Amino acid sequence: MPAEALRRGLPALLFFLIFLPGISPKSSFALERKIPESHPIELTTAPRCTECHTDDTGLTLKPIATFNHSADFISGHRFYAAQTSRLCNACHRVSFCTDCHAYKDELKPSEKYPGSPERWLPHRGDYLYQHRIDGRLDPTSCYRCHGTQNNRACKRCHK
Amino acid sequence: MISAGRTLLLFVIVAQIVVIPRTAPAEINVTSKTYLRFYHDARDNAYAPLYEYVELESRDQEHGRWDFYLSSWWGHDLQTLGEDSRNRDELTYAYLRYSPYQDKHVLLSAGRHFIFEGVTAELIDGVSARWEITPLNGVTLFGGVPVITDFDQRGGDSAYGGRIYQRIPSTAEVGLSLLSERNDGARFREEAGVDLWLLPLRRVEVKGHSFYNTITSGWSEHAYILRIFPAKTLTVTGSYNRTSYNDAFSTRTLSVFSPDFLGKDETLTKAGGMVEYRISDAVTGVVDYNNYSYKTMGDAGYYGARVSAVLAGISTGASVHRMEGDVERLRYIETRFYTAADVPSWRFSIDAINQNYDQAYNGVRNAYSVNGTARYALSESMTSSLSADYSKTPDFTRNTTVMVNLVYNFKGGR
Repeated sequence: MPAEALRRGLPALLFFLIFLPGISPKSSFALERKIPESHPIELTTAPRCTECHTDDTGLTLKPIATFNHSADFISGHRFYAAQTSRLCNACHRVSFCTDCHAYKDELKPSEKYPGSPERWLPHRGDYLYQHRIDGRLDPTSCYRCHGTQNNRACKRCHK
Repeated sequence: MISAGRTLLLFVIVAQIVVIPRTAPAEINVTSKTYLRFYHDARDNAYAPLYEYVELESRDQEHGRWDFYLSSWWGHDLQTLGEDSRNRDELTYAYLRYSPYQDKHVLLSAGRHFIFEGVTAELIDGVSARWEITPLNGVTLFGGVPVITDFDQRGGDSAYGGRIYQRIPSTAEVGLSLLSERNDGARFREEAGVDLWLLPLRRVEVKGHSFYNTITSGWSEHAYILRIFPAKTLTVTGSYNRTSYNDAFSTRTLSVFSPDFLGKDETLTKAGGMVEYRISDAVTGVVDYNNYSYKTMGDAGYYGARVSAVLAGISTGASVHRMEGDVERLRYIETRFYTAADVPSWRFSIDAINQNYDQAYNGVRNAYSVNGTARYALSESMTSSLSADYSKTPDFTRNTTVMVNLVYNFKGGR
């Protein structure tokens, strides 16, 4: 590991590993183990978890209401996936993620699922012209998927 | 499939044979998706690519301790003007996950798999281990070779790092993460990150992250979201993102992300909000606004509303947004409308998008794209669909694409 990264990161890592586990209440062990292998009921639309899950505690130690699949949850799902992927896996098979988070794919998500417009998949329609505008406006959103991978189509023009 | 992919696939299959007893009950899921597209380019040349996507999932039916996932695709141009090979293929994912414990608080993964932990969102050929030490804290470590598209040779490449986290029940989760990537043996990408989730009040949630580039010694990105739930039917969201181009795009495999192209020393501050209201169980309305502010370029604002509804088996949605920027190209109105109807064995959908630019480009001021799709369930495990796109943009005055799709899903066990 590079010396600089070590120098900056190691003290914080040590702090976490040594001190913070000490404040863990043992009673919370049972909560985490409630995450099932798969959701007992197959869901066909973006769920409002709180419609069935009326208790406010449990899964990944976050209130269940924060996982309601509202429009802003879907647009910011990366924050939850980065912290609580185990819970995502209870409902979503890997293929659900790889429909978009693919590697060297040539078909856009909206081309794979043209009959599912309600999913608001990215880059719908003929995106070729519009991508120049969006790319200038916010290249960060492009970079997340196409900055280092999944850019075969990009490389036809952008060498 | 490239040779690295073949080697990896062989490794994962051998690992599966070694780890998983042949007598273990397994659930097996195979999906085949075939796409055949027909379209013309701006010079009216015809193209007809054929794609075959295959996924294989297998998991321990008895104890849930292991699972295996493989996905790959193959493409062949039935008609093209290109001088390159008509065939291409890729191993997208191929990994085996194993946990010695049924609750999976220790999880080991090997093969081509995605690491999504804090600062890292990377596909690697390698191994990773996640250990939830207690429900309140844990650690993830990974190492391998990054999978990067057509950049250069993979010799001397490596990627490794990890994340640790601490939770306070129903109150907070804080994670620290590191990523170190080497290309041809040289420093390529080194980032450290802090990710945060907070519930300071019962109906107030804060989440986000800050990433630091240790090669350029600068913060590459701050991204934070504040969510408020004043009522069960109402969600109010505020967001703040700040990106430094020099630090965020210092590592790239496309020239288009170069700060020399996008703007040297440029920073983007994106701030906005969204209000979502559930009018009824079937109808939801969203109003949103985002402001884009730059250090050197002119500012822009994007605002509008959308509504979506599911009534009597028909999904419908519509949105209207205005882009208002300092430059002419960032002045347009974007509208979208879709509807999808489910009837026994069939689904019919129409999706239309329109951009109305304040100023015409290449003689086109009103760009649009319309898709119509009919899907039919041949059986419980097989569906077929026919889809047609028609569009008019400043690049292509007229463009038509037709696609035929066949999906087959097999579920079995042993």
